[in-house]
Amino acid sequence: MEQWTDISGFATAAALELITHEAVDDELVAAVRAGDESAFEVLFERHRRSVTRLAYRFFYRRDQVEDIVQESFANAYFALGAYRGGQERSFIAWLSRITVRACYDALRRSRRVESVMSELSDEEERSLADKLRFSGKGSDVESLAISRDLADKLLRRLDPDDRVVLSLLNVAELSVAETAEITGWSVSKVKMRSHRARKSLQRVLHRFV
Amino acid sequence: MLKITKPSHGAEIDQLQSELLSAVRVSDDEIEAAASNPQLYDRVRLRIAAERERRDVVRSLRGRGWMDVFQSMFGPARSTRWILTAASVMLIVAAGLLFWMSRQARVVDLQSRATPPSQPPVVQPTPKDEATPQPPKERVAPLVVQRGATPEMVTVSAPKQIKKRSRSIVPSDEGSGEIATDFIPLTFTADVTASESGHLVRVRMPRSALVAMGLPMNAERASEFVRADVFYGDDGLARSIRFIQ
Repeated sequence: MEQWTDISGFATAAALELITHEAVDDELVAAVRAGDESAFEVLFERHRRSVTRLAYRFFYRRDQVEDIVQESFANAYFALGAYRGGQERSFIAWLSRITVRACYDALRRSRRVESVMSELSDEEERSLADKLRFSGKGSDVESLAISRDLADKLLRRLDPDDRVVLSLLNVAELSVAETAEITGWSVSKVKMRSHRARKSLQRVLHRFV
Repeated sequence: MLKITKPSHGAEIDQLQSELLSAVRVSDDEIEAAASNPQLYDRVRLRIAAERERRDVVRSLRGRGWMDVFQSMFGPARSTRWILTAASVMLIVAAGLLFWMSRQARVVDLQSRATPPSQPPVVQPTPKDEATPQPPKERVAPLVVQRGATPEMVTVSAPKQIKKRSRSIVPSDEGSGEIATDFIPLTFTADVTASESGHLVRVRMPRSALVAMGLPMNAERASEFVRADVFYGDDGLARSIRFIQ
């Protein structure tokens, strides 16, 4: 079951799901369409770990992640009419696309709102540089939380598209094909975006070197 | 030198990049803690309910568009349709009638203003006047007097005004081809408009006499004569004068 929820094994999970759970998921979707609300709860219980894990690739705060999970399942509920299922695409792949879209929208919103507040002060920049250089040496909870916060502030300087690609390729460790599948972009666009995102991140990090 | 420094510089940046990205990774325990929140599904249901309500509102607002109005007009409630149609027609007719009546009233008012309120009774011209050979036709400048005005308020002789008020010139006798000005009051005591009866006498008078009445006169043509109708009251005093062309 854990293999299902591991987004890093997204393709494997999707393939396995086609074999074992495809009919069940599709049946549950059909039941929800027919008005059976309890079927949606079963779908939620089955896939909420996958969605939560995927949301954590983009956000590190729990309240943000829970908000993404809620939005993803709510959007999925109203989009069930457009779900085709069958051999073309499994339910988890379809749901992952909805989740990534929700994360992307949230990133764009947060970038607009927090563009000023997320600026790093000089002290924070020094702290971030030290923590990045000596990462792993102090693994206490406070240090980890501070590192995440500073890293998140740094990543917010990137374009949401770059952030999505970096999160999926480097944090979730998906392949280019999986990233293309989950974002709905072409493979070439994912590669191009990945290159640009790395360059952008290098420019951001250049001041710490 | 760049080739020597750049790889180490780039390697350091790559190291920083990977460490930065790994810093935002969360552990499986954290993921499990967030995913197993017992209130999560309730919140999802609440969000679904809120979204459904919002969509219902939007749908109901859209439903009250032109289609609903169209259906109510041409749908089952046909009596309503006919009532509305009849009311619209009656409203249009009433508005047109009101407009026509107001227009007619304005025309009547203009006509009444164009006619002198106290047109002196016309008396037969004297045989002497008829026998008098007509002088060569002259162009007489139309004279204008404010109706009902006292003699002090007589306004004459402004050429511009005369030209402007020349529209008030009316034929003196139907069929005679004469054009007469309005009556110009001559007395300083009586109101010409209050006269009820009197005599109208057509005369020929030198242009120089116009000056006595405060009218403009061309000095070069002072010796020429002009025709005029003088209205005498019952007391024998000249009350008003009009010029004939």
